[in-house]
Amino acid sequence: MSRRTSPVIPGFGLTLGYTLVYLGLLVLIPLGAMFVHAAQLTWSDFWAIVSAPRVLAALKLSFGTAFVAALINGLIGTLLAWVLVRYRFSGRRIIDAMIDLPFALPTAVAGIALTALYAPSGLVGQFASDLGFKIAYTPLGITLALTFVTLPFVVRTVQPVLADIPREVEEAAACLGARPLQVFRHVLLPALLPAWLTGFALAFARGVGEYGSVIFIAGNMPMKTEILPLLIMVKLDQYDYTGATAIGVLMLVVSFVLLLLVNLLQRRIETP
Amino acid sequence: MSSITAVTSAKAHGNANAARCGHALGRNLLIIGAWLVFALFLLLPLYMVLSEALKQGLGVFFTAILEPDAIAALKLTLLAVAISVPLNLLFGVAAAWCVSKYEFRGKSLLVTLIDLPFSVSPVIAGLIYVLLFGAQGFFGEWLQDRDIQIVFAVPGIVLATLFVTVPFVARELIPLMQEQGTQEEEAARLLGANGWQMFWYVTVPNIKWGLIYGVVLCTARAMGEFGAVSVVSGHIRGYTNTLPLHVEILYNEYNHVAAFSVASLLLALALCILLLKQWSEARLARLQSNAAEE
Amino acid sequence: MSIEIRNVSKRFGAFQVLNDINLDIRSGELVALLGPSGCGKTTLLRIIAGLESPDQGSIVFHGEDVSGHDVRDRNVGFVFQHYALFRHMTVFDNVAFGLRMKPKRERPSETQIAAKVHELLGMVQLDWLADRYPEQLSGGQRQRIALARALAVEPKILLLDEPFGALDAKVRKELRRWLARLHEEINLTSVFVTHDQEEAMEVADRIVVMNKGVIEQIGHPGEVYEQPASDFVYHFLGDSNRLQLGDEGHILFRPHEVSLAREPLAEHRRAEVRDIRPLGAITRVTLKVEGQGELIEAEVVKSHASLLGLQRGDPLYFRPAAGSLRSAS
Repeated sequence: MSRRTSPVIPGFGLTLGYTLVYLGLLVLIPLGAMFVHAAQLTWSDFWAIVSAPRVLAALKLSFGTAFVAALINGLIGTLLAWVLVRYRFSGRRIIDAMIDLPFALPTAVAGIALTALYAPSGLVGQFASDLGFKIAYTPLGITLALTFVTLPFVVRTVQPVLADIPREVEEAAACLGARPLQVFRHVLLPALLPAWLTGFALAFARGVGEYGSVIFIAGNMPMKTEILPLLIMVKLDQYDYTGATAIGVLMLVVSFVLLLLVNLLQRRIETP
Repeated sequence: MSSITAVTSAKAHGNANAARCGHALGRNLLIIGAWLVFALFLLLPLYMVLSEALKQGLGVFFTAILEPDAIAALKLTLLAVAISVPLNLLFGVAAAWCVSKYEFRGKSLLVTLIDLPFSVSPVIAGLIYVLLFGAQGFFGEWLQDRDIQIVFAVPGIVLATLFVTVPFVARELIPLMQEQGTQEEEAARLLGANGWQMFWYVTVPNIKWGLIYGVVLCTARAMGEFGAVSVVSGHIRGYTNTLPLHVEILYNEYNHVAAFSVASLLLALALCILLLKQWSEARLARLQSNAAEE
Repeated sequence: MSIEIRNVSKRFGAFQVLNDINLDIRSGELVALLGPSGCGKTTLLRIIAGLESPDQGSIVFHGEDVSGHDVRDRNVGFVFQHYALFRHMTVFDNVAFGLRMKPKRERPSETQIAAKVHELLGMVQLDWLADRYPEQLSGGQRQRIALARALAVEPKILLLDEPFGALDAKVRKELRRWLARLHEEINLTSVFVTHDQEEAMEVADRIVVMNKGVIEQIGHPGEVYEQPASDFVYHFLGDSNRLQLGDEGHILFRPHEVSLAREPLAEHRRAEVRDIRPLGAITRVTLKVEGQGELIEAEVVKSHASLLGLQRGDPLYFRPAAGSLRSAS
């Protein structure tokens, strides 16, 4: 039986106070400062900044590549989670441990490694060159980099849920005449979807904000391969703090709206 | 690719039913798919870092990582880790304590706020400190009058690192402590333990592995943070450069071998972290399965 | 040490868990707080221990108001429902914990602690488990270790929350008798919470029947069974039948308090046999009475004359035994 607040466990005031002060000083006040700074702009000024073609191009690129990368991860992440949970094979433990590599590896290292791999002269890039297309310095390269850094999200959210689904459920479905794909479609998918969406949303949010792994492979051509975080960087280098702030606010707002939508979608799925 | 043939011939434990029903082909295809993803996506970049680093031999490699600027960058990275990890550890324990041991209004909002830094772009994490402490920032003049530099200096780097690593320990501890409940703590109090004794002798041993796991993740991120640190760093060699920033500078100077040499140093650290993570995770899983049996 | 509970009330949000509870427990008594889940019995136990503070009222130990005392100063032994053994400590360290937490000047030496721990482990007959961890013990063993741990600090009062709740039926019966014997030996004032009336009847000197935050009845096991103060107590302390009497209300009687006959007899009601279940020494007959949906169960010895050749669908005449009746409107 879960109990309510017990008066004999000390430290409530101390820990809550410390938590709030720490979060306030380090996270909330600085983030608030950005919004205060943005509030000094009039609506038309703000609009002028964020509707500039270069910003819109970067916005489309950032959200578009992050979305595609999250989708790709939705597929291969589910594949990896499935294989790791359901099958016992040699190398399983190594793969399982290495899934988290993109979280442990500094993003700059990932960035230069992927660039070296996918540049026209690189190990993989040269094949693409032979076939007449480029990977690095195009949106394709950005998508690949984002797919790499966000790879663990879907695997790690789907894996525990999949492990918890009792085998009997599938066996019962099979006994009722469902074929393997039908079992997956009608039994497993609905159970996995909320976790899958969580992983997708995490990967997406991380992809939109990602900087280190992308800037090396992106080529950073304005209007073509310039991502939003880089554009903030460019504005800062030009001491255009207002422009940087406006883009920052835009990014946060769009991200939160999208995450909210995913959240709502998730709730609809969970409560049919 | 001898490993793949080994895979296909491997027997399925506890999955004999599925195999008997004739899904062995599908199963093997899926396993091969997982191996391909693993090899192409995860192993190839690793191989790339090492091969580029050692392209011109070990001598060049060691020169690159023992160069004074690289050592200074390593020192600064370690400093950022040494400050941000303990502070976020303390924060994580305090936050998990108040969230898991008590009921209060606004608790779920607090949990959301703790996770907030995860959904903020690291570049924005840097930007907000520039807006606060930069020359044109809210406290810019005040700081300038007193000759205190935060942005484009070490304090800024530490602050940005702190921001992006805030949630790690708390996130690991909150579910663990919620699951463990408060009865052991109550029992300790009834047996005469005071608050600190209860915390040290009962709570800490119970959350030890979750704590280590959170610290490992926090360290990984603190060590590798790039975007946030890049904004607040002045990119001054030997002074405000962390290891990842040093990699960037070398790379942009077309000094690829040196860049990849330093990168392989970070890679080695990342692999150590993965090992530590694996180990603490295994201990944590054992602990939880024991708790679940009760 | 006696316990007095005076006017204790407790509310969780909108839910009134305890409503003006008054209860006196004499020194050396073994009292059961009996009631269905959610009746407030566990909350009352936790308030006595000091794990929960009452909104109103006070707790008095041996004439001293301890309401304001910290949980550590109440000198209460508490056994949790799921034992709350420290999972990272050995059995030995679990039992020694309370002694080691004492302030330096009162703390016994490690040799004294070891002697005391082994004495307690001997008393609960588990001395050979000293080096094990809680996860390596069975439920019954954990329960006894939790008891040894609680007794190590020599409490004046022992409180147990559903002490047998998590055990299987056989172990539960053994431990029940063992606990009653142990209580005789060490003679502590003890209070335990249970939802199992059989357990309360078998172990306790007195039973406090609780429902919806109030005390329904306090009495010896025989008293609450024979002279229940309310319909609730009657129902809760054993199987019962309700026989409707038209406008006059109904009467309650227990299945074994019944007279059965194959032929119509004075004051006997006619019923139809729905089911016959031989249950060893007794046989249970389920009866359907005209004008009442609720079935009546009657239990008689298996050699009872009325059972001879009895079939489902046969008519049978019954009368609640005199003296067992409880009328209510």
